[in-house]
Amino acid sequence: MNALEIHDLHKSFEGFALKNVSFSLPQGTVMGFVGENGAGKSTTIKCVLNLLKKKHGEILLFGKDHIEHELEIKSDIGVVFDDLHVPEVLNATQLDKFMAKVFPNWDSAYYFERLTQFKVPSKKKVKELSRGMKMKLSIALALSHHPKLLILDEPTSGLDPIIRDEILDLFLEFMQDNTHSILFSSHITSDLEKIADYITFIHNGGILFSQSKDVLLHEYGIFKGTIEEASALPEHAIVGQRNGAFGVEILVRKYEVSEAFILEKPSIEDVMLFYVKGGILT
Amino acid sequence: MTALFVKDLMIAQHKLKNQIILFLFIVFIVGFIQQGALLLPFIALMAIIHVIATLTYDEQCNWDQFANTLPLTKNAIVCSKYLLGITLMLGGLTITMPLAFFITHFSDFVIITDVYLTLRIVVTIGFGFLAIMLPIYIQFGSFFGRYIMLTFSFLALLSGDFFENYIGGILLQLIEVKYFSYVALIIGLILLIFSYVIAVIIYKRKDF
Repeated sequence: MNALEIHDLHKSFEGFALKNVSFSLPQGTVMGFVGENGAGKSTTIKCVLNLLKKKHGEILLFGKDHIEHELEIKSDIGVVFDDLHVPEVLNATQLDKFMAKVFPNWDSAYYFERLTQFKVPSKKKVKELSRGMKMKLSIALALSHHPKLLILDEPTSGLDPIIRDEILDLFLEFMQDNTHSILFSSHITSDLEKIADYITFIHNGGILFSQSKDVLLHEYGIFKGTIEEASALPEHAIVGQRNGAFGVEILVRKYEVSEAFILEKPSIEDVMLFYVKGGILT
Repeated sequence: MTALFVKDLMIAQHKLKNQIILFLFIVFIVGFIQQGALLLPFIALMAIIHVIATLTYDEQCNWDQFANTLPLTKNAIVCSKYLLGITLMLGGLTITMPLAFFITHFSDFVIITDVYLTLRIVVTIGFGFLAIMLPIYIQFGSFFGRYIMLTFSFLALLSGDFFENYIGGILLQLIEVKYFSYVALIIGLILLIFSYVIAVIIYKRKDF
């Protein structure tokens, strides 16, 4: 079963459009949703949450239509944005009272445990918290009704590596239950390499690929050499090419080139950069 | 909806100290000039200002984006603002009434029955004000909402002569008829319901 399925999603604004966005997130997995700023990650997430009205397309969460079963679905999801959107005069204890009235299964004990774990002061107003603290509070709020799906829109952007690591650990802990799933939008690809099972790459409002991270990283290799050496590469294997002062770097489909070529293992960031800046040749 | 209502009350609690100080100051002034009934419009105004303040707080933190990820209907999100306005206004007026009577009792100017009449007129105007203001704020946000309200007030001032000469005369005659204030109250309520329906339509069309 898929936790999330998007088929042929379209949404347009002035100067930007999501086109034919389709991908699915299998239950029990983490999907990294990557793309540069303005590629359409947040727009897609907002369409999933019905914060933006889609032009057309189908969005299913837990196999149910996201509008028809909106309340039922929203009881089972936790959402973290890149900022905490709650009135800044409230504190974590007041937010607990609010959330307890929203979710019948709100777990106050779990919530305060997370706050203690993250060292988030429960009586301090939101406006007095640092950005890192706000994000931790936001994550505690998203987790404490024990959702089945976490939708994270750039939750680690602007945070230092130590806090990011703590947050990623918490997400890994959440994934211990194999019915749980995460859609994790980020342009910090190193975070995704740590926890993602699948990578979906969006560029200019369209999906370039959506596949298993391991397959993705094993499928590609980077060839570094001179232009003459590179000319021996089969054209159909080349995905993207970057010319430098001392030669070329070419992203190739590993299994379509001879083993005689020495290829380096790419990172998600490399694949992303070749796709965006290297010129997609196929 | 209870959750949203509680959240707005928690925001009110944040300003409680200032509001009590302001209220005591107004009680002093009203007591000094022996016009107890004046407390009522003041309380209604405070209730309306508080609803506007919660809308402004919500807008500043992009609350709607968060609220719409929760299992809350859009009707409930809109309705909570109306409920807050009505509750604060009626609750505040109920608490203030004995004080208004007390001040009026020692006054030479207003008789007790006038406090009831003032109450009905104040509630009607308060309902009407909420009915106009909430859809405007939901549609345009607090920044533009404020300007639109100022424009309305400015136009009302400009049309003062017209109002005084034509409509005002009719209105005063109606108000003089004591029973009209009961009808006005019902009209105020109907306006509020009509406004709620419009506000929900506006809110449902919005992107967050």
